[in-house]
Amino acid sequence: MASAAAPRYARPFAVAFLALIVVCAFVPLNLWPFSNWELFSRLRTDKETAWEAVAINRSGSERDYPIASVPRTDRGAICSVWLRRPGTRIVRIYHVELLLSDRDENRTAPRHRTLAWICSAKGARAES
Amino acid sequence: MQKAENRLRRADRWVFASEDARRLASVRIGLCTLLTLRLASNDSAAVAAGHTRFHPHFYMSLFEGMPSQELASALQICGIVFALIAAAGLALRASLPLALGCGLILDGMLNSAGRVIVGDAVLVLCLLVLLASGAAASDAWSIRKPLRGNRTSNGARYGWPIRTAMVAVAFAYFFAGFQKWRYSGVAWVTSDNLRWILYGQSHPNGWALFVADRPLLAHVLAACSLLLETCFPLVLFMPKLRWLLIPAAVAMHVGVRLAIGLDYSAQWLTTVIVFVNWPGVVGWLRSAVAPVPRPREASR
Repeated sequence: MASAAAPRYARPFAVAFLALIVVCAFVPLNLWPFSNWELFSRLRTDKETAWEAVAINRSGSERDYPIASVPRTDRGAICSVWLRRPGTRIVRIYHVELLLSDRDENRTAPRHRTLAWICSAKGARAES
Repeated sequence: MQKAENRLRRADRWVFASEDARRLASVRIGLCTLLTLRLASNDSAAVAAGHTRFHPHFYMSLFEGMPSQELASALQICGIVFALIAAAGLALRASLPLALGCGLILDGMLNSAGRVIVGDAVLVLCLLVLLASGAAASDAWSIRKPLRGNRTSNGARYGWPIRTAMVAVAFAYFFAGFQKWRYSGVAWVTSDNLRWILYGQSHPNGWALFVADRPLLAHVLAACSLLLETCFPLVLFMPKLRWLLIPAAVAMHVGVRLAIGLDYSAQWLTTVIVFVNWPGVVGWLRSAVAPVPRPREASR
């Protein structure tokens, strides 16, 4: 017959395991899968900011590039990858601000777009 | 001091209470099957093929760069095979850690590519507890069971992993609510926070717009979510509340999936697997399906 009792290590394991979940939440630490459970915990406002990349080809037409925020140190490497796409001459990166509370009938929020940096054959160039 | 000691003793007695071996086996089957499904739908290989930038998170710092597409595919296949073997209760001390290891690397790849995978955290936490229970989880409802001879069918050996997993699930919901109180307070409900979350998506769908266009509905849903998360640990002490709070949690996650597109199915399925008394369900189904004896037969 197998012993019905919990093994000797069970008690210290359960205490340490549950304590780690609590510590990660309180500190907070994100040691996945010991999460800090902070997703959606901070208040959102009606002002949203985003980044937008637009590729310009030789004929001057524009095409959107899906991107997230890119650290300044990575921009040169990112630029060289983007410019590899056939026909792309330059890529313009815009910082976009949206006012969600001012949505129009077409459900689009007004956008304020600021040119942040430009990717060209010469590399990344900050606009301001 | 005496009161605190008594409370600790009561908590200890609750966690280390006796449980049916079949209950732990049902948790093994459920969690390992769920891990199989999550591994099958994992797209780490595509992430590796897409030359996504590698920002290693926690244990993924052990890797110098994003693991290759070939390695991701191999881990995915091995992980699925090991998880199925573990679900069957075979070589659990080897199959479960191997399946979990494959899952951790594949999830880590997604995490290091900037993907939000918090929905899988509860599943992995409960699998870690199952792993710590050793071979106890394969003492019943296992393919190898006939070869093992008699086993004790009740005991704390089967109870503590289930109760520890229950506390982990309860903590996950409670701390999700706790952080909302901590960083936002009551404004998480009274402000237009939920509406901006819904409107702020790149392409909000009809479900998101239905809620976001109705401020009162958005406030009510926000209040219900925060109340549910904050009160969820009550399911540990009041088993009758499980009938209310667990379906409510499932409804909340389905709502989030419909309106925001975030997949928390691993979390709510883990909650259902851990909290439902599956041997009780099987017994009830058997009695419901079994033919009812005619009065003359019954009187013999």
